[in-house]
Amino acid sequence: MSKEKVNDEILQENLEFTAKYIRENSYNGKFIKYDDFFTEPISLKEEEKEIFFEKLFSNEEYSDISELKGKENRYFYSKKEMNENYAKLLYRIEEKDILNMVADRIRTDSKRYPKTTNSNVFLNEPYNLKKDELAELYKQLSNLDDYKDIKQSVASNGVVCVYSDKFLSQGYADALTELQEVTRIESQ
Amino acid sequence: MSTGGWAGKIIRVNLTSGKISSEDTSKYQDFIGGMGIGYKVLFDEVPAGTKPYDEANKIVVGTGPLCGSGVPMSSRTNITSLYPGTDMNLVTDSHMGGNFAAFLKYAGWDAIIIEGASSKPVWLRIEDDKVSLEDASSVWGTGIYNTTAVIGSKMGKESCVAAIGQAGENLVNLSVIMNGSSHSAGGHGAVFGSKKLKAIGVIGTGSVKIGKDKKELMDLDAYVMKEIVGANNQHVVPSTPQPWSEFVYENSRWTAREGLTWGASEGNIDTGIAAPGDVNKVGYRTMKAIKDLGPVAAKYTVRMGGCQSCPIRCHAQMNIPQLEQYGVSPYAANTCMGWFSPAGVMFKGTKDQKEEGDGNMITRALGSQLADDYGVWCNYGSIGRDFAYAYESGIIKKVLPEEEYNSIPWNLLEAGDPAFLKEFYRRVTFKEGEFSHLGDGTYHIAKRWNFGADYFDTKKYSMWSPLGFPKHHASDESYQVGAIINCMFNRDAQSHSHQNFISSGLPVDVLKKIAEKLWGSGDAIDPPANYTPMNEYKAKFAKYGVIRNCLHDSLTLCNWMWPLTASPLKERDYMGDTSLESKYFSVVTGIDTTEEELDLMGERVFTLHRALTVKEMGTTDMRGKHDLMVNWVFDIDPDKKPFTEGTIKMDRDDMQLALTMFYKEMGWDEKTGAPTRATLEKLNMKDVADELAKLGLLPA
Repeated sequence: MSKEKVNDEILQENLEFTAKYIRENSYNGKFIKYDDFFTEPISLKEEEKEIFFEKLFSNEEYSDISELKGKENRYFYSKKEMNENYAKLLYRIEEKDILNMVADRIRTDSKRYPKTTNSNVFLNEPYNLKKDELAELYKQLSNLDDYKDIKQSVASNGVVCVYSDKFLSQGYADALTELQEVTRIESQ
Repeated sequence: MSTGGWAGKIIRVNLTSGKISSEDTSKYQDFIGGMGIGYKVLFDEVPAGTKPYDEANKIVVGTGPLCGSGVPMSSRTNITSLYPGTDMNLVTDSHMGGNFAAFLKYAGWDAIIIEGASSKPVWLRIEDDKVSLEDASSVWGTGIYNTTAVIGSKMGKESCVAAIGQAGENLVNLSVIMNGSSHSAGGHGAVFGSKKLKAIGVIGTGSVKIGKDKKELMDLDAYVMKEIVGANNQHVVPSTPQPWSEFVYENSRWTAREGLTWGASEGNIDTGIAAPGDVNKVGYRTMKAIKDLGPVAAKYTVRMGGCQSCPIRCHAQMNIPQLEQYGVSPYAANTCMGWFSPAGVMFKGTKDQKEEGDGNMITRALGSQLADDYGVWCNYGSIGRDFAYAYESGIIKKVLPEEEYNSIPWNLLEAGDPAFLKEFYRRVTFKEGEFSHLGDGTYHIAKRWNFGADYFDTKKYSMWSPLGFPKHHASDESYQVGAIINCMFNRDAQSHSHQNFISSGLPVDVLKKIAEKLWGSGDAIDPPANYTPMNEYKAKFAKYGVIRNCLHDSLTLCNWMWPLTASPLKERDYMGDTSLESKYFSVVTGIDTTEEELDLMGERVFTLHRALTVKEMGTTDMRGKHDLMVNWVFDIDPDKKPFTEGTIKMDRDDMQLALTMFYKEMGWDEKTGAPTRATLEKLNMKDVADELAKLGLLPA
């Protein structure tokens, strides 16, 4: 077999392995970052990267592999194994774009469902903010023009929710908060 | 009878004479099983005017053709009898999960009809076709746990025992029948007690015949597990963002995520990413301990358990060593209301002991142990609300004799010390003093202690009907659809078909698209707290909700999961499969039955319930005398108008229209809501129509 043919086969194997690796990580909620290509287990060589990425993004078999470009990093995931909403969230986390990470969720909930968002969801996976971080963040949101739509709504049991007044009036938000945090819990 | 599903035989036991006989199930085949058999027996054999504790009352413990067959979520036992919790002596059902239904089928029986009353305590022993009444004097006066252990040791570890506790023995209206130490059916424990029937123990070495090729059944199971089934309550969206999901809804019961573990299990099992399609991880999706007992409960969770044939596993099985200080076992298991209702009794709150949230967890677990062992029922949480109202309004201090009042350790309640629950449940169980009348049920206690109208008219106390039962997924959550369904039964509705869909975690626009396919228009769905006037599509949705509920309680299937209206798969546009009940019915029984045909059978069962209620109430005026709603439904949010954003307030005229439209869907008289002869005959119940006609109870 010619050297060229062997190289092609090795490249093909590497592509298949990489796509599978990206998909597995996507299923588990993780990006593969650009630097990861050059370490175990992918171990891409510097001199191969141009042809490798060209094949990765032109081959129909890997059409689910997508890229998000950050300020200083590049993130790869499979659209088939990771939903785009989750990918956007993960991107915000990786880019430490915490204000938008929080605002995205609140605004989507308010607009799409509609519902308010329990203010403590950001303490849990995958946001993992600490209590004092979150408290500080809510203060920041209320002081920044771009996030002035983010407001609070309190249930009769004291549970605090947040919402966007671009999509919900205060009165409606209060009714939704009461429904979610009191009424739906009364009925088990 | 058909070639599969049904066992073909029913036990009839007369506790007065001790006679035990076997009947052919085929007489009831039109009514399927479970609830259907129960209503037919009560309609035909229990005279109107009979009271729940009369010897003439009967109690039917029923399963259906799908129990024990391998259909997912199919081991519910339906118990039908007259209900002592209101003063109307009307038919109701209670249900229990666990193993009982499947084991009864393996023993070769579809149902047990219990009549008469024994003069001394007995238990019913079923070992395949050997059925006998045994002396229960050694367990009479003891709790459900002891009774289960004693009878279980007599019968062997392959047995299943359904028992009552001292509450049922003492004719506490709010009492349960329970099997398997955490699967309880609320409301009929004292009917067993009035008959001196302590327990039923069953062991079965047979199996359930499948009418068609078993491979068809396995294929259906594979399809359901891969594409359709969600988490508890058929929630199809996760509670935390997950890579597989487009949506997230923090109140969802699909709680599995990396780092959330069964913390007291060997190996600290991580629930992980339990994505749809991963059939081996369905049982991890619903880590319910944290929902029912708070985040602290994760580390006390041994595993999630549940019922025979159910992949969902919604019963949290806990090891909480702190319980031992109260003299109970550290091992507690339960789900939903079983945990919630003790917290309702401790309405002043709970005090944490060693870590944040443990006070709440210990309170719920202790209360669950006490209530389950004594066999006390909560009336869907009302027992705690009745108590809270009586205490906070000063009524309890007025009505209790001074000595009794002073004997109650109120300081424990005020301090949030769960030791108060020991007093509460003991007094209710053994009918100690005036306080114990809290176990009578809301209707009775409100009358006896002269509760104000505000008790029924304030949403906080969750009452639904002036007849004396609470709301259960009513107008507050599901507008006219929930309201109609909550009017239809003789106790809290126990119907989840409609609410599971509305609360599935999907946004309103997605729900509307599915609703359009099922009920003709997305107008069947209102956004939360932003309702619209009644329309025909909501009437169809309400009918679907009720009929499927009755179908499930007859087949039997678990109505906490079924119907599988939505799916977690985006590629299905989140559309579930409402034909599954009929597909399973066809495969298991061998009788080809379409979705419409099976729904008609469900309609028959529910219409029989209606006819029975008419008979028991002695009136056709269901609209005026039965389908009633308390005032908060219409008067809440006085500064808002109905059908405006931000209120759950309903309109009285609109609700009457809603009832009319529902009656029309059901083929009932549109003025009174009573079943007509035409509808009864269409449903093959001419005998029922003739009986009602004889009593002057058919609408004009």
